[in-house]
Amino acid sequence: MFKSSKLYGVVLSRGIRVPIIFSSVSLFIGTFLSIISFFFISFIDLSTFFSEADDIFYVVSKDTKLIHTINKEKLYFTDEDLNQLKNLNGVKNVSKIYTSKFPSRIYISGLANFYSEIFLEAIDNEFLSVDTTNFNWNQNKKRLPLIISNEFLHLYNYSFSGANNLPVLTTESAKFIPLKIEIGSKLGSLEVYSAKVHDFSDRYLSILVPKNFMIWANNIFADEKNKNSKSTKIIVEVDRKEFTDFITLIDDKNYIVQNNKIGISENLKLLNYSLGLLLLISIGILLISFFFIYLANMILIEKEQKNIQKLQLIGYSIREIQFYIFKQSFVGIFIAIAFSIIISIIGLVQITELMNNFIILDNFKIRLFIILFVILALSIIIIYFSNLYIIKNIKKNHKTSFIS
Amino acid sequence: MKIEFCSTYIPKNNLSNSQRSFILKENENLNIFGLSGSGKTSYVNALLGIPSTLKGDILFNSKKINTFSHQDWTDLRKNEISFVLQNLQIFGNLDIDDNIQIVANLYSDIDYSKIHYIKNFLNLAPQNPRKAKNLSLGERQRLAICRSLIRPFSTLILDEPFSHLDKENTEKATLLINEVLKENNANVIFTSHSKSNWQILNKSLLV
Repeated sequence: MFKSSKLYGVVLSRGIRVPIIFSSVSLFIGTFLSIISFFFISFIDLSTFFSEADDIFYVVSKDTKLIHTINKEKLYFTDEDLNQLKNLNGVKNVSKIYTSKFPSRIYISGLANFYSEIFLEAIDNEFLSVDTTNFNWNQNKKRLPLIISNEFLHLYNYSFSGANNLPVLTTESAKFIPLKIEIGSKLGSLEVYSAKVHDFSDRYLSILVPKNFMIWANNIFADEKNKNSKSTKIIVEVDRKEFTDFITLIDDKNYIVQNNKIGISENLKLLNYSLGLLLLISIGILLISFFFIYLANMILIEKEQKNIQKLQLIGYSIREIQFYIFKQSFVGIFIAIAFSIIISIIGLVQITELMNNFIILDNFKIRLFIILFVILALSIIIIYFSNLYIIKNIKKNHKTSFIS
Repeated sequence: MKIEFCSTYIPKNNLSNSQRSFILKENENLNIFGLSGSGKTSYVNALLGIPSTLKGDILFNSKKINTFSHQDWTDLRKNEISFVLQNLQIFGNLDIDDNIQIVANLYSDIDYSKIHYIKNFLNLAPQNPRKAKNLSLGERQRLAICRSLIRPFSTLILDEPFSHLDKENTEKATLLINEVLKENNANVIFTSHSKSNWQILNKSLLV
């Protein structure tokens, strides 16, 4: 009985196995990193990267000194201060930020024991970065809309929720939570208003209410001596291309610009940019790995022209020959992709369990399934077209048609 | 298999196109003979689909080969035509058994007892571990003959198949080929320097 060993392995040289192995390792790395970075990027709100506003909004306040504890008047922005800013080159608009002059607290409806003392702020709607269509109030409205800083949501998710065994919230799920705002009136009584999160903002580190509510509430609930319209904070809209004069004035007057402090949101943005870069690099690694595998096959075809012709003369079809050529690299590709998928699934499950107290990773399985499907589809498409090109190359190099 | 070749080549020597053409019927066996360099191997290459200097129309069972796809050629070579070429076309890195096996692998119903018989008849040393590139020319030629006979075919093309064999091996090979041709009900195209006296050859073409 003749041995039926893997004869192709001798006929078609094994010389490409080493480059195939190295290419498969880099394919594994590229696929693994692509899956990981793609997975986390899928949770990013991409709209934050595409805003192309030419203007920057600055929240400005005066530097707090010890003297201000005695004489608070120095902390307020006067009309003169506001006009000076408005007249600067590059400053488009200036407005006060209205602050509540009464004590208030916020809690989740039905959980009054779980409250937080707060202060409220309000600004003109034109300075808000969110949709303000329904961000208004009148005395007939039963519910007070709030705009809350993203920083508060991150602090809640990163720190508060874990410590108090509370669920983490997304920007969408937080909007469904019924809230109560309790205002202490001058008469000592408490007024309670229903409230709901209208939206979240990166621009302001406070809880914003509609301006007409703030003016009305200050008038009703504030002490007489506090009922003034002066403000310790202002909002300034500056043209991005012409902010030199503004910066100079800030320095001269020793104002404090709130946006100089990078909060959690900014750090997340940096992280997202990094993830995006990682994704690009890992896709690059993945594509280069496939290319090198394809190149190794091309070198093999060139090297084994005579043997390939002999096989064809015997009666082997081009598809059979191509199948064997590609089988050598397919094993490497399959192992690389399979391992990267398995390890990334294990890794992601572990990571999401750890991160569940800090970040909502909703629809985890669906996202992962979509990503894996995309990676596999991309791999199959690349393999398919590589095969077509290999076949074309074999046919081109081994022309067998009779010339007539 | 019926093979027709209609030459359109402009002859270098005094042969006309019609003299270079032939029609080979199923029960006919052709001897193509001529001096070295006269173009015998060109005929063989053309029939196998290898780029050749010949120009013309070739028909296999009335089908023109210039209409053949790659798959048609594959089917032809696998099932209809077997050959022994001058350059033998064996795999130098494989031993005798593996060279035979690589042909046998093409067929699911190969008869291994027949392979054993042919191998022994041609005196190919049993279980010779030497790689084909290390065999003598005579051994390699016998191996090529063995490979050509173990597979199904309706036409056998032999391009100076005994050039490296001694008289005894030539006679043995001839006997064996006769037997296999009869078994397969096949015809043969045989090239040689001079007109062959092989009895089964009933047609000749001088080139």
